[in-house]
This record gives sequence, C-alpha cells and structure tokens, in this order.
Amino acid sequence: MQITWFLARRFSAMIAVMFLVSVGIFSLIHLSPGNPIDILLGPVPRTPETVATLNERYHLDEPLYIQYWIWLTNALQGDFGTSIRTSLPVSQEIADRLPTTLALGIYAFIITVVGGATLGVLAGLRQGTNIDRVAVITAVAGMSIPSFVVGVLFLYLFAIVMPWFPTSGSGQGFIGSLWHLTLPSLSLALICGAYITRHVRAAYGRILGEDYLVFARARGVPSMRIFVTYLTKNAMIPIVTISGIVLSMLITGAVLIEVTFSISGIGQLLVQSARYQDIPMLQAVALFMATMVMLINLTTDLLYSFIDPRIRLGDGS
Amino acid sequence: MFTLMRRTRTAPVIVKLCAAILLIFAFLSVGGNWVVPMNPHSQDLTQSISLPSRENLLGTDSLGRDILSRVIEGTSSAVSGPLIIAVGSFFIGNILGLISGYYGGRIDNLIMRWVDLMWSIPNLLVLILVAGTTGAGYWVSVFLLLFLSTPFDTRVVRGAALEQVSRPYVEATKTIGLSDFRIMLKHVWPNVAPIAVANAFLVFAAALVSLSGLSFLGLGAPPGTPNWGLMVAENQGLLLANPAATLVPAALIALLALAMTSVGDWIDDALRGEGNKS
Amino acid sequence: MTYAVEDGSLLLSVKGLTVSRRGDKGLQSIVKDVDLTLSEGETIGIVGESGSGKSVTAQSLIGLAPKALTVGGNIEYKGSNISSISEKRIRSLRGSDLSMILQDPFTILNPLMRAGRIIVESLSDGGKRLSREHRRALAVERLKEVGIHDESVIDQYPFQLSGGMRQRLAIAAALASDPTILIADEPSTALDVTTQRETMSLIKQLQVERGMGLILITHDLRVAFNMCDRIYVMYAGSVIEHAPADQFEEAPMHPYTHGLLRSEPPIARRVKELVSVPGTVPTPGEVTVGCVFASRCRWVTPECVEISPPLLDLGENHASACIRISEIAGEIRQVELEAADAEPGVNSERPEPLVSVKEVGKEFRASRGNMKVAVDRVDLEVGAGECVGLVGESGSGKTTLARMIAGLEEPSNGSILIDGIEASNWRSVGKAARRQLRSTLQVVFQDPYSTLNPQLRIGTVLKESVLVHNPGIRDVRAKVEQLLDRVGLSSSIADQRPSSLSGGMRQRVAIARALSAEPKFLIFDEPVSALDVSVQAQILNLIRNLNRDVGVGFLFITHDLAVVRQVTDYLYVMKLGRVVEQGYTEDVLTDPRENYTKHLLDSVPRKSGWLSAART
Repeated sequence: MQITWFLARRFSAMIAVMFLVSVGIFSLIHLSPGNPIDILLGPVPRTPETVATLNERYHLDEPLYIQYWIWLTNALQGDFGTSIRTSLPVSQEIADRLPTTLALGIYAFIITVVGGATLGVLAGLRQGTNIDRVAVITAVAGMSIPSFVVGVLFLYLFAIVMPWFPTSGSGQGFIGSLWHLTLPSLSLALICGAYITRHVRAAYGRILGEDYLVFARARGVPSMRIFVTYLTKNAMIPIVTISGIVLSMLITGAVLIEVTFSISGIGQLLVQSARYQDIPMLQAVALFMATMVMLINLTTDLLYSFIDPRIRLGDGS
Repeated sequence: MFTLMRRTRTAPVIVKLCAAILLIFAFLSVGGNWVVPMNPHSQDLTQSISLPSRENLLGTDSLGRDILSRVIEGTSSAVSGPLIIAVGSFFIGNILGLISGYYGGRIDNLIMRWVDLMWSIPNLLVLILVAGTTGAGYWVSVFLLLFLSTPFDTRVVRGAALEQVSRPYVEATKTIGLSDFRIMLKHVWPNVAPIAVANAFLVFAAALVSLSGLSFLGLGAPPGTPNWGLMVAENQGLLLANPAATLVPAALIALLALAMTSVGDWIDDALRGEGNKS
Repeated sequence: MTYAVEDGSLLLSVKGLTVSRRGDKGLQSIVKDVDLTLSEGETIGIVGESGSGKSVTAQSLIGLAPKALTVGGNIEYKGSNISSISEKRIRSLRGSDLSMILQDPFTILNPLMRAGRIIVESLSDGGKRLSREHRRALAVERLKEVGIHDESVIDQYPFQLSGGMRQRLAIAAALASDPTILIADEPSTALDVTTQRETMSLIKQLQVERGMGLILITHDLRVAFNMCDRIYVMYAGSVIEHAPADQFEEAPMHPYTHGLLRSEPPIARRVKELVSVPGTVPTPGEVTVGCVFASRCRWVTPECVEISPPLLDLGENHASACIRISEIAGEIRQVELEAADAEPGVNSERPEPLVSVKEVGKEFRASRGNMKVAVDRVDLEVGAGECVGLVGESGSGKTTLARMIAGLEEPSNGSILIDGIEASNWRSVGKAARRQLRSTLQVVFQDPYSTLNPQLRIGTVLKESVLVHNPGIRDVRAKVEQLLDRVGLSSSIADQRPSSLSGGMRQRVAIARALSAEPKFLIFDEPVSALDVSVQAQILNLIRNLNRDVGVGFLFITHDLAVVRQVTDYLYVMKLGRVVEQGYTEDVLTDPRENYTKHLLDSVPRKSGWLSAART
C-alpha cells in the first residue's frame, strides 16, 4: 500500500518536472535573439511562401500556450520538425545516431561499475592499506579531471605514441566498433568510476563499523554471508542513491567524449546544433536527454524503495 | 581557522604540494602579464606549429602564437570564472542552507524542493543549450553556472546545519534568549564553516571543469582567446605535430582541479572532526 | 591468580589479557593484565564505569576487538588456547561455543533482514539443509523460547519492533546455535526500566535452563548482584576487586568499589547527603605506575602512587588490588554506616504555583497524516522554590511536556501560565514578556557532551548569556567567576573548551549558564542520565544545594526513581502522554496507588529479589 503511494508521488513529481522542463525547452526558440521565423528559416530565403509554411508548421501567429501545446503533441509523436543545419527530419537524425551513443554509454557503464565498484569494495574492506591509498588517489584524480582532458591524454598515449587504438571514426562490424569505442569508453568510465569508487568505499567502510556487523560476527554468521547480506546489501542503499548522479555524469561526459573522439553520436549532434543555433534539433536532443535523466532518477527511486524495507513499508521517521 | 593553521604543519606532503601549486596559479592569474615571455596574441605564420624550442619553450600553434605565453595568459581566465562561482555560490548557499537547516518546516521544504529539482539537471547540458540558443557569451555562462552551483552548497550547508541544530547547545542558546540571527551566525555557522569552506573548493574544481569543457566545445570563450579549454580543442589537430600545444593546457586544467579537490578534501577531513569531538 | 573451581569444569580461563592502542603518545593500554575464569553454568559479572575497559575485554574474549587495538595475553577455552589461533578457527567457535549480545537493540540487527531470517542464519549451518517450512517452524520455536509468542513477528523487519522485542530477537539469534558461553555486553542499558528487568530475567532464565556460562558486562552493581555468582570490578583498564557476589554486597574490599556502591542513590529512602567519588577516571595510558585509583582515593598514601598494586588474595575467593586494604577495611565499614542516615521527605503544604500547566496536549504529525498524541491533557504545577519531579519511561511524553514549558515546542491545546504570563505560545507574547519568561525559566539538557558549543571557550559561553540577561553589567568577568564558583568549578576553566572537560564538569557549566539568567525556576531534563554513577551524585548534590541556598525551584525530569527520590518533594508519574499519579514524592514512592507506579518501582534494580519478581 505504502509503496504504491510512494511511487505515485514520485511519478507525479516526475511528470511535473518534465512539464517544467518541456516548457523551458520549448521557450528556447523565443529566448534566442531575433525573430523566430528568421531563426527557423536559417539559410532558406525569406519569401511569403516559406514563412507561410513555417507558420503552418509552428503556428507562430497563435498565442504562446497554443504554440506550446502543438509543439508538445508533435514532440510526443516524435515529430520535432526539420533540422535547420541539415534540412533532414530531426527525429531521423537522432535515430541514426542513437545506437552509437548507446553503445558508448553501455560500454562505459560496464567498465565504470565493474572497475569502480571492485576498487571501491576492496578499498572499503581494507581501509588504510596500499590498495586503499591507490583507490583514494584514483578517485580524487578521476573526480576532478575533466573527461575531455583524459580523452586527449589517452588519444596521445594510446593512439599516437603507442598506436594501439584508432584516433577517430567508428569502425566496421561489432569488433571494429568495440575497438573504436574502447578509448572513449575508458576515458568516460575513469571519471564516473572514480565517483563510484569513492562512494562504495565510504559505504563499505561505514557499514564495517556498524553494530549489526559485529553482532553477526559474534554469533558466527559465515563471512561470505556477512559480505553479501550485511555489507553489500546495506551498502547498496547509498550506492543506488548516487547511481542516478553517475548516470547523469555519464550523459554529460558522453557529450565531451564524443567531440574529443569525433564520434557521431547524440552528444556531438548536440554540440554541432548548438554551434549552428539549430533550434529544432537542440530542442529535440535536450528533451531526449532530460527524459533520460528523469527516467534514470525514477528508476533509482524504484530500486531504492525496493531494497530498503523502511521506505517500502513506511518507517515512523 | 586557527585550528586550520595549526593543522597545516601535520598535513600530508601531497596536500602541501597541492597548496603550493594553488599559490603558483594564484600568482600567475594576477601577475601573469609580467612573466609572459611573448605577446600571447601576436601571430607569426613563419613560426607556425613548431615543436618546443629555445625561443618557444612549448612550441607554437597553427598561427605561430607562443603556447607558453598563451597558457600563462590563460590562467587568469581559468581562475576568475570558477572563483566567482565558488565565492558567489558559497555566500548564497550558506545563507539559504543556514536558513533552511535552522528554521526547518515550510521554508526548508521550499528550498529543498528547489535544490532537488536543480540537483537532477546536468549543468553542462544547460550551459550548452543556453549558449547554443542565445549565442550568449562566456560571462553569461559563468553567472548561469553560479546559479546552478548554489544548490550544491545549499544542500551541504543545510545538512551540516541541521545536524548542529538538533544538538542541545543550540536549544540552550534559544532558551537563554539569543536572537535567531545571532544563534545562526555565532553558534551554528562556525560549526558548519569547515564543511562549507571545503565545499567551496570542490565547487571551484567542478566549475573549472564545466567552464573549460564548455570552451572546449567551442561554446564558451570566444575563438582566439587564450583559454585552456579552447586551446585543447583548437590544437587537438596538432597532437602529432606539437603535442605540448594540447597536452599542456589540458594538464593545467587537470592540475588546478586536482589541487583544489585535494586541498578541499583535506580541509574537510581536518576540520570536520574538530567541532564534533567530545 | 587462579581460584579453585567449585562446581563444574572450567570453561574459560583468561590470563594476563592486555589490550593496547597505538596513540599519539606511543602505546596506551586500555586493558591491563586481566585474569578471569568462568565455569560451566556459572555467571560472572564484569562491572565498571565508562572507560573501565570492560567492553573491550568482552570483545577480546571472542576475538572481536576493533582492528586498531592490539590484544595480548592468554585465553583458554575448554583447555585449549584460543588467543593465538587464526581468525578462521575462532570464527568456527563463535555462535556455537562463544556467543555475544550487545548493548543497543536499535543498531545490532541488520535493518534489511526479517526476524525469521536473522534467527535461521545464526544456526550453525545457516539452516541450509532444512526445508522452508522446517526453518519457519524453527524460527517460531526459537522466538517462543525468548518469550515472543506472536508468530507474525518472524516476517517483520527490526524497525517494526520495539526495543525490548529487538533485544529478545537478538538473544534468540545469539543462542540459535546453542553456545556454551554467552557474553552479554550491557544488554539492557538502552532499554526502559521495566523492559530492563524483563530482559535480564529472561537472560538469567535461559542461562539456568541451558547451563550456559554467562559473562555479564554492566555498569550497574545492583544488576550484577542479582545476576552473577562472582563479580570482577574493573577501573581504568584493571581488575581492582574480585569476589563472590554475596560477599561484595556485605563488604566491598576496595575504596573504589566502596565508593561506587555508596554513590548509588537508594530507592527506599532519601538520604541527607549523596556520596560521590571525587574527580574523574584517568584516560588510558595516563597512569603508568601506581594505583589507577590513587588520584580519587581518600585513603591514598605516597606508597600508592609508587607501587602498582597486585591483586591480593584475601581468602574466601576475595581479591583486592589495594595495598592498604588490611589497614583500612575497618574504616571503610565505618563510613558505610554513617552514610545510611536518612532524611525525612518534605510533606508540607505546596507553595503558590509559579508554573501552572492546564489541560495541555501535544500532537505530532506521524506518517501520512495520522496524528500521534504525545501529551494528552496534562495538568501540572510547580511552586516557587519547589522541587518537583516528573518520571516516566520513553514515550511517556515527559520531555515533550518540558519542552513546551520551556517554549521550545508549542502545545496543540491547553494553557501554560508562567509567573503570571500566558506562555503557551512564546512567539505571540511580545518581546518584553518573552524576555521576562527567559529570565524566569531556564533549562539544563540531558547530554553534557553536546550541550556546549564545541567551538567556544567556557568563559565566552557564560559571558554571552550573562550579557543577554544583564546588558548593562559592569564587570562581566567577575560575574562569570561567581557563576563558576557557584557550581563548584575553578575560574581557570573559563579559558578551556568543552572538549577538555569531563561530562560532569560540562554539566556544571551548563548549570552555570542556566543560572546566569538568575532564574526562579529551572527545568532539568535527565541531567545525570548520561553520567557515570560515581559522578552523578556530585551533580545531584549541586542541584539540591541550589534549591536550599538560592531558593531556585525546579522541574526534574528523569526515568530514574531512585534519583528523583533524592532531589524532589512532589512527584508526577507519566505514562503514554498522561499523568497517571501525583503526590508527595515520599508518599508516592513509599505507597504507590497506581499499578503502573508499583510496576515501575518493582523494576528498579535492588539488592535482592529483583529478578524473581519479574517472572511472576
């Protein structure tokens, strides 16, 4: 009962936020300097016909809230208009680039979780040892160095000084793509993994000092079981809460990494459109990314309440 | 802050090193103009894309500009934006955080809802969007980022303040009859300050990363300015011909951010325990 | 030192147990050279105040001392040495041979695990070979053994259970693999008095039924008398006395034990002057040579400081680490008799009310819009210069009521009249009235460790509050010194920060701060419950003197009936938000009318018969 209440609240909050975000994104076209018609026309010459076509498409002569409504209903059906820069349908362009970005994201996410979490667990269990010191330094470094700096450094070291990996391009076939995505994914994972390492280490360290752990040891609960059901399960609560932030970092990081490695994904598309003031494209990409972030946050909340019975069943506090 | 000075002596070597690095950066950002070996803007196409040499210690870029001079000149722009953001959001965040943590209730709810909303927005995306649609310049981005960073300070300060407010010493000051303002300023804030100061260092590092990222994407500093992020992007094509042109500004961004984070972490560790020791 | 084993075989024998920590000033020993024995079916008590090293001793026995500590010495379990065996082998002993329960039932259970699983996983094979139904049946059975007959509990999470239930669950889990030795580290300290007695008698009953060896760690000698066959008293890391429990009661043979026993305020009568042990416990490593108790001992001689006293056998299994014990034993007994002087309680007409609480109630918003009543239509009065007590267990609403009187919480209904001012809503009374209220009424809070701002020096704290109430004062410093003097502190303390003061000293500073307003009325919210017994009396005496010398009236909130008897004249008893009984303290505690008050009184640990009463 309580869980449905919790979820309903979270879900409605998300809808409200999405509404605000969509209004913000919609109004971009009116915030940018100059007449919306000129912006939307781009390089196309301004004739009564072209203006009429635009008006028919965007209803620029209607009141703002009607414009918003039309824009939103179109957007929900996947219709964001045509790109000013390429004159292609916006949704087409996004669909073309999505697989690359997804591949990059998933690849990086796997490295992040496997590498970052392992290091964090090892460091958390053995605080004060050498592996812990390595983890702490890596975490601080990874957290403060921007991903594009790591990217450029990797490019120089592993594609130029030691030409093991390609400098750019996307490669042929699965292995080829994987090969081309390795350096970008590693650069991306280093940043997000550092964040994970830091938090996993802190979570394990804190739980090691909890009374319930001492009590479990005192009554002879096997250490493997303690590791799984005491340490890891309890550590999952703080880790899940930060995983939303990590995934957001992954999205932002992907933008920089795609530009660094000239990968034609969504992030690069965003930057190209921003440089070109390609508003319809910008709106679509922004809405897409915002939706991703919101869905990630909702999933985190779901997971969180699933793990912690105090949320699921309602604690007094 | 007194304890901070006392603790400095026992700081690990690496933290001392980071502090020294920060001092050097501070000097270069103020006095960079006096130490630049050449005019960072003067182009010399005959000397374009040269490797490090006696004349150009870090070589030149494709327009023949001296990398070392441009890097030094870039320090002030690298430092000033993040500094404004860190200081500005420190003030706003501390005020909001203290109010939120101290009074609780409805005002806390309101502030925290705003923080939660801002929390889920990736800063760089907002910067890209605004720069892309409005064509706004670097300083608009700085102030936007200042606004986007305040929730971070607010949340940290509020958490720390909340922890203090629940302690009897704060209630005791209330029963003695001190004004809310005085309690917040004289009793709660000094116990929160170490965490807030440490956080300001982290905000600086994060702002540096975001702003140089924006410039790297060509959406921050205008083309041609000696900005580290921009230089990394402009000279990335020269990675083969003169790697220093890209790698040095990239390394400086990393170094400055790293030093800031380390010192901030250390302040946090050194002082956080101080107030809570019994 | 070894003792003849009277009955049963020797289970555990500890020799020269030493625990030390590497600190700023080299190796500091937290536990020094402790010898213990435990036989089958026997209960021993390790009694000590905070800093005595009793908990670390217990943890070391089972190989669970914190990693930062170094444990030395020889621990033999059933004749084989277990102090030097591998972590893996000692782990196989835990649960099935040695098991332990810990102090705080709110933190010792995995918050993400249901009660049934907590029990089943504690079985020696983790219950893997049993079927689902069998495991469930087993968990139900184990819960019944600890007095939980409600089967639905096995599907509940710890946070859904009360403190007493959680401790029972923990006991069931600790005993799941039928250990031969149970170590109980302050198992009832975090619980209410009534629950405390139930828990203790449960542990005792289980120990007798199973014939286990039981090691009870406690700070409460009275509890130890009821539970244990033999008692070890620890002080600052050393065992300073050791004897069968009945001998202890009659004749403690160490000045510290003697002081500790006498510091315990009696429940049955009000005494003229409460006895305390002066000074504070030395920090680990502070005393390297000489008797650890020397700095607080009234019988100290130069020799005591030079020689580290060994544990001397006095015959009849009694041993004491006092080199002068044969000389001073008679004197100690003499002091014992003097202290018994009783003082009749006040039973006169109550003075005119200074604080008058009428029909006051407080509701809190609990989860999802449900309201929880914390205080339910309470009437209460405190006269000028009167000493009034308010007792109740946790959840009785006593602290909420006090906070409403102090203006820290707003009543949902009813009225509070303080010195003629309607003070149920402090925010609406106006500035002048609020100022007057503040100077009429002040509060002393429970936890001395967080009642002072850690950043400020003591002098600054006091100066600030003097200036608030007395903006025109000329010599602030003199006033601060006067305040410190009144609470029995030297003026040199003004330059120190709270972290360098002991708990008792901090509580004195908190009282001085409250006095700076020259109030007519003080609220004491559990002022001594966080302090050790040997220090408690110092504060209680101070409170009594303040009333006698300055005429300050007070409302004293506590869960401890013995304490309330010593300091108050009139008493209110609260249960679940309501006042269930009120009257002169003397009358209420001698002849309670309400069953609840009787039950509370019965639950207070006393020298004998405490546990047997709980079982009926």
